[in-house]
Amino acid sequence: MKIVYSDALVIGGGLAGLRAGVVAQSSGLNCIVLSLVPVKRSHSAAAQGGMQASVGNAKMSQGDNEDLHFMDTVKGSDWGCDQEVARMFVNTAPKAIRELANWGVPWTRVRKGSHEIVLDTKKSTITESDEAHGLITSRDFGGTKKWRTCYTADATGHTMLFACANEAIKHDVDVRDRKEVLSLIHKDERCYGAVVRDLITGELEAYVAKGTCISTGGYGRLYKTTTNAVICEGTGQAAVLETGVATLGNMEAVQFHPTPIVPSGILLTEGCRGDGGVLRDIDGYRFMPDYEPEKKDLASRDVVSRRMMEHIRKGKGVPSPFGDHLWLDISILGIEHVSKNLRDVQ
Amino acid sequence: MPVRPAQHYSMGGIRTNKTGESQKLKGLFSCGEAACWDMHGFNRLGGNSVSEAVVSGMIVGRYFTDYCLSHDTNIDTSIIHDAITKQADYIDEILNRPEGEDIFEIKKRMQEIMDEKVGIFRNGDDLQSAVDELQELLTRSKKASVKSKIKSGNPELEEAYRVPKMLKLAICVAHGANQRTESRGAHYREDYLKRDDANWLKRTLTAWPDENATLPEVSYEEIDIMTMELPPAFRGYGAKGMTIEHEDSAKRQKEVDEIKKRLEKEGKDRFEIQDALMPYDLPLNYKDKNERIGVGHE
Repeated sequence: MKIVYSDALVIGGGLAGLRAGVVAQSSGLNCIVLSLVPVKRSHSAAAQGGMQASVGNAKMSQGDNEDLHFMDTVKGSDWGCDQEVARMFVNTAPKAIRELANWGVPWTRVRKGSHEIVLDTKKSTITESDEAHGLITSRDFGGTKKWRTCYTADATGHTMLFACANEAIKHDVDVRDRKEVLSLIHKDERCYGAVVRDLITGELEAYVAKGTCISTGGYGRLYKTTTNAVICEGTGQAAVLETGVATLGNMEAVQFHPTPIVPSGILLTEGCRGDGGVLRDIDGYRFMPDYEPEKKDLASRDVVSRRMMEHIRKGKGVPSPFGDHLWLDISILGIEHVSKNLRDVQ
Repeated sequence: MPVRPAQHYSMGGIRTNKTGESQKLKGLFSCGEAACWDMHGFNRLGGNSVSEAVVSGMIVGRYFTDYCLSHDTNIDTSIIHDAITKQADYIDEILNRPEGEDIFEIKKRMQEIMDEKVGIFRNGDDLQSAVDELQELLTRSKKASVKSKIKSGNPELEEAYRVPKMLKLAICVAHGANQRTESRGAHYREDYLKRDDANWLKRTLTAWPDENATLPEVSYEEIDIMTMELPPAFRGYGAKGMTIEHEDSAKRQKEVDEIKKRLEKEGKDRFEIQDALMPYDLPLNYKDKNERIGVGHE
């Protein structure tokens, strides 16, 4: 029987797990991070469009602060969230952005002077001030009052994940990949670690620790069509559920993204619409303003997804061998913008 | 580019308290998408996922570290031994099953059911039939046989132990959705079109105490409007007039307005007003004010 002891055990080596691992290790603990895959291949890397934080540097972000980020988050949650947690989050996010810059994330920056943008399908000009030149910029995203989404082109998750993984290496966090949690070790309402299967040898090992932190991502692969990677099967939540003691919360709350590409299901970032792209139907007609006069294509994801399906049900979808779909039009943004800020989409 | 909505994000997950620790198991923490910490409620905003990942890694990581620093590992090795043996026996049992169900077929069917009946538009009939069929699949999955008997590098074996776990989660999703007779955020019921604050302003909690059961135990955690900084109202997008109000919403809004008015008159700044409405804690220097161009720390 192989037992591995450590002070802190983190299960799941994506962005959240690695960041937690850095805290533990740099506080003098011996921390082990377990991951299904080499950590730089975690699904966090698939996040494209950006990270919300109210830095308020760019012209279209001016006046932004924690209060607005808080309100957008609560409204987005349809009042289902824990408002104290939302407050904790919005106050820390700007600090996280700056820390990540320090760790090497090459955030896209404000350039002083006039720039052409697309607003509501019309070309328009914004002028960035000299003082803001070189500060972290933001783009528009759904359901937000200000342009608040900081980004590195459309590889934001990728740069964040690599920065955190490198930081973990720097701090000598003991990262072990190709390890899968099978069950949690617990007694008298306390968790002591996990039974883990080595995916190369098939051997079972016990990882025993003072504390265990699970950061294994979502359960998108319960669905047939999903933007999630094949590793997002919810095995972390299942191990918790199978303790018979711990609880899962709001499992029915599942988000459907408006713009995965048909038929692969690979995501086209919300940045496409944030930067000025629009949805069109079989007639090339831009239908979202009819449904959502205020936020148009940039209402929250649940609302846009439903409106799209509603429009398809009205017979306005484009027939294809893979079922009816709609069009996402970013041609109006111009080749220069697309090849710079939406490279993965291109 | 051809697009159509598809599953993208899990707002639900391991239920924790504000420090990221499980409400039921001490020493078990969770952060990122895996957790229901719960900053997303029933719909997450774009850009808030990687943001949560790293921010919860910082905050929950800190509380988690504090726990590890102040606790010892005091567990009998026999308990560890039993836990490993249980899993080893389970894998042997799977490998030794007589020819039976095809696990890949069961998984495929589960994914189809979730797409067709637990998707963007939900209704009671479809959800009930999803719950019924998923339970049958869970029972069948326990009879899945594995052709190759090798213990390593055996994808069919891995599916044979993973799919029953996934089915349990799928049942939690479908069953929770079936019980929740309202529409909130991404959970949309065609037979209950309104957001029902009067009856459903609460979190679904699922536990699976009996390992042979095919349904979880469901309970609910009330969300108290009277402690909210932002009481329930219209979101600003989506259809209007689609809310069944809770009586506390107007009451709390009045309270919030009065506190704001009074403190503004007293010359308090937005941080002091926020603190009066809904105080909260953060570790390290995370509660400090953020600096912005043009306004400093205002």
